[in-house]
Amino acid sequence: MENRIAEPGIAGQSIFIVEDESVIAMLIEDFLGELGCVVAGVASRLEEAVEKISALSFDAAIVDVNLNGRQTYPLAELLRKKGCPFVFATGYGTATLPKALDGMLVISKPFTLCDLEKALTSALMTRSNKGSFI
Amino acid sequence: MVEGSGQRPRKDENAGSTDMSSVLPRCPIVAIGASAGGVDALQTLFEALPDDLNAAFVVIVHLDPGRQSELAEILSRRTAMPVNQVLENIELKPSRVYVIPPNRRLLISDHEIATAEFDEPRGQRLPIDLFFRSMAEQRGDGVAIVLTGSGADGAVGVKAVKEAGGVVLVQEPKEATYSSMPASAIASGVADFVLPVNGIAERLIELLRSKELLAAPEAGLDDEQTLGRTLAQLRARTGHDFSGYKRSTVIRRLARRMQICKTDRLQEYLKYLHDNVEEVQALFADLLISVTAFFRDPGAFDVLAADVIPKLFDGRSEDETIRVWVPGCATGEEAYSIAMLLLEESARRDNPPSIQVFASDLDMGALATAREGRYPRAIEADISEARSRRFFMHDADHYRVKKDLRDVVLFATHSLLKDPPFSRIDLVSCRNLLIYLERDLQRQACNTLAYALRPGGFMFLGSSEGIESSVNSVRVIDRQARIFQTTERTRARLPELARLETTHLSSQQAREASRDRGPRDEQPSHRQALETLAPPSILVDNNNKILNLSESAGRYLLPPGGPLSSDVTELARPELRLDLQTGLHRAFELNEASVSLSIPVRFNGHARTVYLQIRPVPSETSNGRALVLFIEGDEIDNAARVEGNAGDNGDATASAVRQLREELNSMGVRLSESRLHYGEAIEELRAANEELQSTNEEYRSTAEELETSKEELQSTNEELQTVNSELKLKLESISRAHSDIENLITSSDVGTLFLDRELMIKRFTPQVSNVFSIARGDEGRLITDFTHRLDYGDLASDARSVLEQLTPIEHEIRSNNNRWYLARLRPYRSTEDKIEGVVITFVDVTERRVAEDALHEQQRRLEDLITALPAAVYTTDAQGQITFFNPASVTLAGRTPEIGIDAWSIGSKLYHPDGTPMPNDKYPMAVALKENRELRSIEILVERPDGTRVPVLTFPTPLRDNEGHVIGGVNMLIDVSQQKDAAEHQLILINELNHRVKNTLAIVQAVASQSFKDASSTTEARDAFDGRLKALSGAHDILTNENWKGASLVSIVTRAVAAYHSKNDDRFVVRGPELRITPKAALALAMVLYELATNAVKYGALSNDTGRLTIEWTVDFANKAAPVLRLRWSEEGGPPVKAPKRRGFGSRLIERSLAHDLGGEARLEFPVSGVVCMIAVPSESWGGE
Repeated sequence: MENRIAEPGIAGQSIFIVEDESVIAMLIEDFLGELGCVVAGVASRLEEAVEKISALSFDAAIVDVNLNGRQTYPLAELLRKKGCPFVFATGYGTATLPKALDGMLVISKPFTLCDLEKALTSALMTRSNKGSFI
Repeated sequence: MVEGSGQRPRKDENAGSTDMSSVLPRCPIVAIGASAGGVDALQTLFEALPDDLNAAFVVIVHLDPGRQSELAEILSRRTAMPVNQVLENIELKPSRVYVIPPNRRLLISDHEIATAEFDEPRGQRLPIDLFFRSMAEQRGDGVAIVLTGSGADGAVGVKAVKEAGGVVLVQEPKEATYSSMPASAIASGVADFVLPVNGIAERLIELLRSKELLAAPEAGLDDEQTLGRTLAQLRARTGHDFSGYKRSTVIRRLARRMQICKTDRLQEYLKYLHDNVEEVQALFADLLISVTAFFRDPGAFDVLAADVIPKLFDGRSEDETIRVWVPGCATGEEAYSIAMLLLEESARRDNPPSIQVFASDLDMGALATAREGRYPRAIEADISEARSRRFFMHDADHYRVKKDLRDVVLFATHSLLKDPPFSRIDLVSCRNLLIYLERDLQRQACNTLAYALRPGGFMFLGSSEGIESSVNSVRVIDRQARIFQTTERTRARLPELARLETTHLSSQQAREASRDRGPRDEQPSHRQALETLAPPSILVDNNNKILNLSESAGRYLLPPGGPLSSDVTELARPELRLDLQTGLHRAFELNEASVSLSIPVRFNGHARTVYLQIRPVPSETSNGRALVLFIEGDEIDNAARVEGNAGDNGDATASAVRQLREELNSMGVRLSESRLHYGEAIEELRAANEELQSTNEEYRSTAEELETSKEELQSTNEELQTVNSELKLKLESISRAHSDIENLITSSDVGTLFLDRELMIKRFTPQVSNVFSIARGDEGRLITDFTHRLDYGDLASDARSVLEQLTPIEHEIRSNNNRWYLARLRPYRSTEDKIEGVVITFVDVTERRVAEDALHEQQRRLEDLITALPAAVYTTDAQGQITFFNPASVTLAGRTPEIGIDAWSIGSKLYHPDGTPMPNDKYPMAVALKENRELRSIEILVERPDGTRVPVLTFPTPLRDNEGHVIGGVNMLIDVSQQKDAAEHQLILINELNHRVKNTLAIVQAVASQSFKDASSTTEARDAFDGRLKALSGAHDILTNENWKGASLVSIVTRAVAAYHSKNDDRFVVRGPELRITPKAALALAMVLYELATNAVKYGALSNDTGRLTIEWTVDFANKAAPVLRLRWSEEGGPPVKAPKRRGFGSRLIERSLAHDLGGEARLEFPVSGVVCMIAVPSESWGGE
């Protein structure tokens, strides 16, 4: 597991999770732990997520597109303002992605540890490319 | 003083003057009347006239009162003379043209031309007549020209012009655009020339040039001698003497004739007259022209009608006759006027006397007109409308007297001056003749008139004629109206008619003779000496009239009572009368002188003997005269007479002589009375004879007329034969047409009923009996008497209203045998366009009606169908204008299409399915009609007024006529928004399913990952994973059964412990109210319960046989707004519980999932007695039921 931590850029990053399914949230926490990331917080409802995005500080976020049937696209705007890169997790097939997700980083459920790592790396790279973090 | 014909004196003529310049005005006037078509004629005329004619031209036309006239402007382009529209009084100047202005009439006054208002309303105005008359009154001569025009304006005026000595020129009616006006002028009989316009111009130039010459002294019109010869010529040829006529009139008319004959000198004219018989008649006719009119001088006629006419009727029985004489009647207007008054009065009386009007004149031509009784329309102005209706028939432009008026007037050729008068006349009307006569002749004429009247008879004279000075035995009834009455019981003497002519001439010659001899003759003194010395004498003419008395002859005269006579046999002393008569008779008849026996005459009581010597006096100039000498003898001794008387007994001879003498005296008296009576009888007989001659003449003219009529009849007969044969042909064609119509009527299925104005049956066709119960032979009966099968109660009243309103009526009516008839009522118009009844047709329209009903029904069904269709359906014409739409169209378009405004589409705007706007010409309907092909299932978006767009499928289809041309189109629009929504929904569902499946796989992945991470062995891991997967699946089953809408809490709980349940039922207590919870809560609770159960089976109450498990739940309403589901899992009786050393996936899941997924809470406790788990779920997560 240690070699994984050697991956630069991801280890030590704090990640905020928005996921309404506790089992999946636990899996993501486990994956993040394996990637050497810190779980900054978990939100299972939209209001909670909005609250925590402004209250917590974190480096990136994984956001489930659908929270108990409610779309989470509004969160994208909040996160963009905050300057946090994010990855949308969705059960929708890539062929039928909603238009709102155009041009955003999307990870398709169920995803593997590797998928999550790539997605988070890409997300964090976008931020560093913009030069707002380093 | 020269006087015009009853009008006021002309201003330009000086009293007593015979200066020609005053008779012929210095500046002649040419008055030109024209109407319809006149502008062209006037232009032609003026173009042909030179500008140096020295005449003033006055143009009178009929102008529209409301419009300005351009005539002056037009004419000024055709002549070099200045042309003026007369706007105010201006002086007439030669070589100028004066044009009438609109809505004014023109008059001549003094040397000016003046305008005046019309007295008559528009339509009855006769400006041409008015001006011609004015010109005649004021200027005497002048030239009147009548050009083209409709109507008869000018026809009366030209007579006045001619009478005044003017010349009348009329356009040839054939040349005139409108011939009526020229034709009327010609019909008045006074046209001197009838010529085309160019001829008129030529003539006019000649006339005006000759007029100038005539005004010169060398023309010779004032040469008395030549004038006398001219009149003598006329007398010799016609027997009528005009030397006693007013000189000015004669000269004026001679001048006129000379103009017309193109002779410049009277000498020349005399020669012309000598050589041309026609000219004698023409001159004679011209001299006789007189102007007359109906009721001329209406005031006088009113007086006549009021004061005189009734008196004529008073006291007359119906077998008597009122006799009226109108000498100098000319064309009869005056005679007819008086006859009208008489007939009107006659109509007011019971048993009126009969009426005889004698009208006489010299002019046979005028009499012919009078007898015909046909006058131009212009007389309307003089006759009241009532009289015009009562006494005249109207034909085209003329009035003709009706028969009853014509029958009371007898026209005869008769000379007032030459022929014996009519006698026993009640009223003499002579209003036009006397003025033409010199004073002497006037007096003679008046005497004649007075003689003709019966005592108390009336005279009605012209306004300028005097009578008082001429005739004594009349009194004035009305001076203003010139009405006189002869005094009762007086009888004028018969005037000297027979010798009038010669007497007149001889007196003239005598005057001339005496003028020649007078100064160098000593005869008068000699005669005077003789008269003093010679015995008293009287010169008598052959009528016994005293011509001259010697100074002392008065002694032998003793006038009797009564009017003074000049008859010597009446004036002489009674004793002398017998011998005087005898002697005069011998003198005149035998031309013998005679001496009477001694005649005792008592002078102042003294008787003296008187002898009469009577001898004829030879004379060159007169028929016979006699000189009566009175030779007085001795005084008869009174004593001798006394002695004679006393000698009864002795002197028988003397007494016998005395007796004989007395007898002789009385015989003489009787004889003289007889003679007197004889003389009167002769006079009356002569008058009666004259009257008979007139009557005879009238009969002769009637006979001539009859002859003419007979000829006319013959030609009429021929015409009639032609007409008859035409009629025969026509009849044949009519009967053919009739039989055609008969066949047509019978063969048609139309029942036709002809009714007259009283709704009686005139005729009907057989089909009528289908409706009415009428049969042949019912013609002439009232239609209302018959019953009919129709439900038409108003038939009769409808028929009457058709007769009144003349508008056809149509009804469709059902008969009682259930058939339908179209009843059509129309007025029956005869070929003369009179309404003579009603035509009713009955057409059986049952089949049409049934077909119509079926069609209506079909149409209604079709309409219902289209209305009921959920699809929008509309139609357009070939241009795309919407002609029809159904209600669904309104629903679909969200608006009501406007018929005739909207084109191609019922929606206001169309879009392609991708949302781009669609141009109008790309609308599916437009494309379909343009390309003439039907389009199917074209998808478009229809925008509603609220901006929403409806996806529709359209099916535009062109409609074509029989030739395949597009005449319109029909379109159907189907709203596919629901299908569209459904498709989208399906896509969402698929996505959702995908999402759920993937999410579930993610859960499965997480469960697997956790299960394997916690397990100490692969087997254990697999069992744990299998069990969890099964629990998850079980919850899915429940949710799937309920369509994922929710789940029953009881089912979830029951299912979670079902696997262990069957072992020992009483170890399980499941207690709580049935609640419906959300799928999410169901899944979370199912997983939590599964973990608790798995733990209980492994370590807790279900691991042995004694343990018991209680699951119970309640809803806690402590906070009413947010009730909380509280579930308690409690185990007991199992092995003693030890709190776990490490928290595994199970307990993490229990706490996380309730807190995380449901926002609730789970508290897991591990008392030794058994595991207790208390779960609280807020209502938002389980649904709150």
